[in-house]
Amino acid sequence: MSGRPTGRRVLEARDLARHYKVGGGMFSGAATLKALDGVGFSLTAGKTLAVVGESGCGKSTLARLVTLIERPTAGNLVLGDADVTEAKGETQRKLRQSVQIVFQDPYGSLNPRQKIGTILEEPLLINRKMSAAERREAAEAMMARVGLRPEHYERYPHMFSGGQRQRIAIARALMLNPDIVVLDEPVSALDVSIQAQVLNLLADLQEEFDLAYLFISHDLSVVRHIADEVIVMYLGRPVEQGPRDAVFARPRHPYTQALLSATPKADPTQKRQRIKLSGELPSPLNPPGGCAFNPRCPYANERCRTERPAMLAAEGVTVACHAVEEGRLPEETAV
Amino acid sequence: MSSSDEALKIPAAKRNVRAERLREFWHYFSENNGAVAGLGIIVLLVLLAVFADVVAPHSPIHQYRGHFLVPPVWMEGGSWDFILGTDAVGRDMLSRLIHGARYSLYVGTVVITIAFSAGITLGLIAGFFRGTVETLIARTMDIILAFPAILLALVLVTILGPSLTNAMIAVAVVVLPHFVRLTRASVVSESTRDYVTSARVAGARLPRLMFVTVLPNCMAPLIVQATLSFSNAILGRGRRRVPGPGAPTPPRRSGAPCCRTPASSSPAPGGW
Repeated sequence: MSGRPTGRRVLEARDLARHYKVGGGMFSGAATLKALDGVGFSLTAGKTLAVVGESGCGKSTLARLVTLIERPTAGNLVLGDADVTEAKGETQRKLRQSVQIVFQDPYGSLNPRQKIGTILEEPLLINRKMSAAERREAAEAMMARVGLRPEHYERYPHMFSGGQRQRIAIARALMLNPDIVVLDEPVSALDVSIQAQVLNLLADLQEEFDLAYLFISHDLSVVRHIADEVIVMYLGRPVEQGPRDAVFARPRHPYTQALLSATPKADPTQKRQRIKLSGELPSPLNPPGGCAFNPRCPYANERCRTERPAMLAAEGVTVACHAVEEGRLPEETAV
Repeated sequence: MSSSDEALKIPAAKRNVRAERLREFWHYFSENNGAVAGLGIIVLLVLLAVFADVVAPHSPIHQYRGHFLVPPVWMEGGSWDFILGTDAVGRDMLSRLIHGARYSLYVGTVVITIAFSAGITLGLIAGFFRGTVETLIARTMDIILAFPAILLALVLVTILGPSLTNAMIAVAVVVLPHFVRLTRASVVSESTRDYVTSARVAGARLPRLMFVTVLPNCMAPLIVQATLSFSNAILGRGRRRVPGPGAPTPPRRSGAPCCRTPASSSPAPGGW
């Protein structure tokens, strides 16, 4: 942990895409669902990249690709210095150990038939040659690290509260000493008071083990608290990407602006303008032509309906929006 | 010195773990009075079967020529010599039931062992390999279910030939689809849960996922099905004696007395 230089790049994703074939019933042809289309980012040790967007925008698909549960349809995923999209068999198993995941639902992510000790030791049992005593020692050390007591070792998941379960899930993810932890909405199922505890624990662990986090969330107040960098996604594509402060201080993309304006603030004196989006998230089976956001965007014009915008650099961030590129957005949209 | 010490210690530790598990099991088991009572009955039955030679008052095949169709002791004409009476050829009913328990338990155990292990394996395979494999297994089981149980078992015994082994195989095939369907349904719903995904991320290979991660979470309905099928297997095995095929020798199974010829079954109320 201490021997690894901070700031090294641990993962690089280029143009990741994941398409699913759906349907194909008796009378209809199969359709292609583009759950994820052209996402690129890199993860740095000790830093947190947050992915935000409403449900159905491809956040969880991204998590499944990064944890190698699924293979990307197109694009490259480079872990350390090995391309996992090529890797097979034993190599892939080795690589897989360096990426672990914590799920949203702490009630579904722990095997109800296994004791906490068994759950924590399973990754070691599978991947390491250790004696039972060594495994137990490692599990108890990790339990202490995440704030569980030694007597919890012999208990079953149903004996714990949501927050404690999430600590167990975090402990399990760290057992193999990974470089990257994918956090798939790790606190959205928890009480607000517990959320803070778990977020603080995550921050401490990140510092201690020099972890790179891929933090998936729809809760912008949490993201503002924990992220170093932010990707905003809409319908499987990134629309805005940049350092947290730049994105939160001055959102460029109309969708980001709408998202940020929808975050509740605990300050009644602060006047703000809420941007209301009309319409629903379009079906990813039949996405709108041009910019996917155009049916709901107040600034859409003919070009937005026909030509898909590319991710272009704009003062520290990258944005995929014709209106930003052309400078026809109203200058001051204070959020 | 120290290494030989450790080598000695490990088996002892393992034994401790096993004893610890047993104690924990008993702790939870003994909280349920019904379960303890059930266990008592089963243990009693097993002991009766094991010590049948000692417990039974008579030989199950000896014919007492002067005592045909003696009624049970609580009825007029009954005697303590034949507590449950005798059958049409003068054999003691109680002794036959006690000896028959051996067959019943044997048949039930073997049939359920075959059906249970084959059923959960097929169900796990169907649940994990979706697609053609699943369709093949699931439809085959549906076809087996579509036949009336007795008819199917008779057909199988007729094809395989009359022997106790073949009869047990036939009954096992008849009860198999229930296990396969139950297992498959549980596996399909369990394997989408996050804990299965996280076992995958932890590097678990397919056999581990199937038997260590998913299977224990599918066991509850399977255990119930197994207990119900156990008694069905015993009864079904008895019924199958009617037209001929089956075990060709005496001692009856306790499920069997219902199958005597109609003429003799009415005056001797020992069976049912």
